[in-house]
Amino acid sequence: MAKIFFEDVVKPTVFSKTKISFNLSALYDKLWEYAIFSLAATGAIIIVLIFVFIFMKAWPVFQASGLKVITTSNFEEQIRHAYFAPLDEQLWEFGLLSLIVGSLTTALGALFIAVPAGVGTAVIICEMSSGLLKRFLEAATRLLAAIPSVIYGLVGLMVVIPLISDRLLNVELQIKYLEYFQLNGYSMLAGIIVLSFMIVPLVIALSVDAINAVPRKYREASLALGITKWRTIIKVVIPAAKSGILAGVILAAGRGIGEAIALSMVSGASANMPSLRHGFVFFLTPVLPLASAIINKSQAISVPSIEAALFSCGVILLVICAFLSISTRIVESAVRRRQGLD
Amino acid sequence: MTSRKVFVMLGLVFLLVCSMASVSLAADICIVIDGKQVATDVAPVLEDNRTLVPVRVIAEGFGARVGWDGAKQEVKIKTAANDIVLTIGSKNVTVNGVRKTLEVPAKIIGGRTMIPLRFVSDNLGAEINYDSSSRTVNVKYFSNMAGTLKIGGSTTVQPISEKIALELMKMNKGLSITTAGTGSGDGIKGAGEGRYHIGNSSRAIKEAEIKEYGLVEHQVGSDGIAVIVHPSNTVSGLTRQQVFDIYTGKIRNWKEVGGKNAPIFVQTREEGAGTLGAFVELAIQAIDKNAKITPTAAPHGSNGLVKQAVARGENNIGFISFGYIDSSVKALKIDGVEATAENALAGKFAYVRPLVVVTKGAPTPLAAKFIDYHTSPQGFKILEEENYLPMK
Amino acid sequence: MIKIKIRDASQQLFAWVSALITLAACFGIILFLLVKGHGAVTLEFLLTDPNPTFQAEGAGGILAPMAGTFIVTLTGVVIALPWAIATATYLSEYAKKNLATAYLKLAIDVLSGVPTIVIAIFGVALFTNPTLGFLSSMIEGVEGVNKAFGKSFLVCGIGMAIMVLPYMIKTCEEAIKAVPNAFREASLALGASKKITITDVVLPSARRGIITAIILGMGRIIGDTAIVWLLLGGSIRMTGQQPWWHLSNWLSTLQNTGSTLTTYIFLNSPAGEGNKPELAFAASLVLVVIIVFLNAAAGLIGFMGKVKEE
Repeated sequence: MAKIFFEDVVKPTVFSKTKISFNLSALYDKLWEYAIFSLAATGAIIIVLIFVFIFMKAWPVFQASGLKVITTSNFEEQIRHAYFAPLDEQLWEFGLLSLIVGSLTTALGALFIAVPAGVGTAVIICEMSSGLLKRFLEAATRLLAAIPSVIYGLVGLMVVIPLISDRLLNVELQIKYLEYFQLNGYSMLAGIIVLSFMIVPLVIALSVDAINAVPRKYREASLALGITKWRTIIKVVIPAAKSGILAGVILAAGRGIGEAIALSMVSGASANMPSLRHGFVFFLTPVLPLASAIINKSQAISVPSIEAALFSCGVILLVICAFLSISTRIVESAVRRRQGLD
Repeated sequence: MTSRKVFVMLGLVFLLVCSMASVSLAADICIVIDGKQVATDVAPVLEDNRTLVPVRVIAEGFGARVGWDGAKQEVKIKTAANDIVLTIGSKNVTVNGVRKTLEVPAKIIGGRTMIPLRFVSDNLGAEINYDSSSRTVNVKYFSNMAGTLKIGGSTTVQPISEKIALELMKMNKGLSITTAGTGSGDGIKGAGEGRYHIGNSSRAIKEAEIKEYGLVEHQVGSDGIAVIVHPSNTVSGLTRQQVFDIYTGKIRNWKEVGGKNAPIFVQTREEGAGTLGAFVELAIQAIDKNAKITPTAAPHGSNGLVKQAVARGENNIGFISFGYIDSSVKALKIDGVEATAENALAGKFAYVRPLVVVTKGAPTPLAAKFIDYHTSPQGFKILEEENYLPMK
Repeated sequence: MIKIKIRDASQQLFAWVSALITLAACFGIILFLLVKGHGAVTLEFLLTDPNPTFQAEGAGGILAPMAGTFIVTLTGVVIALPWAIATATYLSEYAKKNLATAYLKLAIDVLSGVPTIVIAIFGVALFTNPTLGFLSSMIEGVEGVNKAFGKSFLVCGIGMAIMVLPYMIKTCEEAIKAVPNAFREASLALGASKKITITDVVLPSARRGIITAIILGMGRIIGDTAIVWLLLGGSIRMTGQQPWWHLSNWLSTLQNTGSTLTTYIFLNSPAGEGNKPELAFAASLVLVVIIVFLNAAAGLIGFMGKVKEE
């Protein structure tokens, strides 16, 4: 350490007036660099710590269940058994497949609504509106993005759930499916609706950026060829903005999968496996996404094996979200490279 | 012989005069516990410079529980941390199992058990000052607390903890009580791991939890659990067996219990929730040890959500804490007994659960006083305000 | 031809409808909160502490949760800001193109994707460690135990800082990169060291971006529930030395638990154990108003910056 300092400090520069002050300022410079480097490094260390801590806590479950963690789905029953198991024969085997499916179906369903709606809104904001309407739309998007998830959850609980149970459910349907689960409004559909409102502003914001980044000359060339404005948007602008929009979609997917509070309030809180055989009731299945499981099942966290099971939900979440972040990065750098070539 | 008799007589008279004198002297002794003057039906007695007070004074002032064993003539005073056993007329006393000697024994005056205030207070961790000019005994039990106390657990018990913390911190400058509402499960785990001095739970602690963590339970109150249905439901009462059959899935239609022909949709709580744990114990396992709640029951995250579900679904049945009953749902009679606090306190209502706090091993002196506060008159008031049943 | 026209028209219609739905959702939510919550919002509601009770009567106001939101936001930003600026400065001014830098960038990206609930359970596992006990407080007097309480405003602020760090780094980095190179060269040519160049020239020029980063971070912290729920402790009032608003008690308040508007909303909605949805709506309304103001402030700063530049 000392050696490096010495060499750095002694290196002469043109600007020094006196040797001493120059030495001191060079030393300060070096110290400053080390200081900000170590701060930057802490951030990098923390992510490692997060992985290590969460994984350590979850390890017994992975050890006992192996691949079954992601291939079997009997979570509710396993939690119940683990909860009542005597201390010296705790049950460490858990299957989180239904939770993973719950997370993915909810997030994908929300994307299915939010992506077209978000891109459509972005097109209106960038290309079709001006003045007050444009400002209004931008402000609304910003505000939607800023509304806390607990408020979305609250509105979902008080508005969406009653709506679903009044409009889509009846006693016959409830009886028919009672052997699988109880239909009561809390459902994947409620989760999808609430989540799509939460992620649509993200899709809009990133799509707006992407559309604005499309060079003017593209539009001009297309319009000069006599193509209508709308065809230009559909055939030229959106394809050119595709990668940027994709980055937004992936980001939104990550947000959707990681959302805990709002979904725990509306999605049903019991880990059922939605089945396509049930037709449209597929969407009315009460599901338990990974992130909400950590909140909903935390009542039983005093049992060590259940605590480990919840931490393994965290591990799976971490892995999915890390994968999505890295994908965003790859897509973004692809965009940048293309723009660089242009 | 006669002179002896006279001597004895004189002695008796002397004693009588003395005791009368002491009674009259003590009549205006005033006892102040934590800044509040204590009213007693039998006045305190001063004997050998020791004040004897009715045992109720201690019970009320310190939140202690007092037991009376008529056969052995024993008074048992129990707080969260200490156990004192006095015998009427005897100088022998046991404090937490250790024998000690009194200077003045406990006695019965006017049908009330009188106990030596200073001894009992000292051994329970109170501070006593006697102000001879105003003839006032100043006892500090809840107002000589200092240090920090960390409490976490059941969200059901949380408001009670916070209210008590608030009142205690008002009385004590150097006291800091931190509370966190994290759920019964975390309360038990946190106390066991040493993250909390006191863990709150709204269910009884499992055998396994007690064993694993070396926990000690202290009951601070109780709570009734009502079985609720939609107000339009024609059923107004169930037997315990019927509740059992409905929740285990044997009865699936309201007509089987005298209602209309409609399916029963069972609402329950998340595993680990205090109300569920207690309900399973009282309504399910009390009838069949191995029975389980039907897997098609819909789990909810809180009392409020169960109430909302039942208020919205005319075929639903659920169970909630007494405090949550309102006009949006109908509470059923169980075995013909209405779900009211009076019935629960009288022991007539079937589903009454304990509110429990746990500590790892014996509570610290500070934690013990906090627990005692629940069973003091101020604590009773707080529990009643939150619709819980105090331990009167 | 007609087919194409119909297709185009229906596509346009779809875009307009989705834009209108977005607009309607935004106003719908605000209107809903306004209708449901305005009745309970009074000056008294804003200026009194909540009472620990499940009953609607005597529930008190939301002073402590509002202060809690403020304290959490402030501690979160105060911790995250120097950290974010340092990291952004390092990345844009010092980092060489090597494996370590690539890893650092990757780490920040991955961190930005970590769900808040995972940061929260990580915090629970980390901060009960006795070496970090000074952030909350140690459990004293329990036999054979050496653990920290692990929940406090400080702990929560650190959790929040970890959450917003990647976003703030990104915004700061963009702002620093946008500073023209000529500024740096001029400063160096005048004899200033690299440190002086950064602290006195580059960072001040990037201040608008840095302010944007602060507001972005504040917005995300204000809206979070999961981290507050697990790291601040779901209490109703401030639990440090009373009165909590007294300046001499600041450290005790920071080291103890409390609530924020988001947990207050959760606690009082049917989903928490609370029984007072009307108060949850009122608090939601207040929270949304705060967020609207914050957004407006961000807009104003951006606007003023533009005016100044012109």
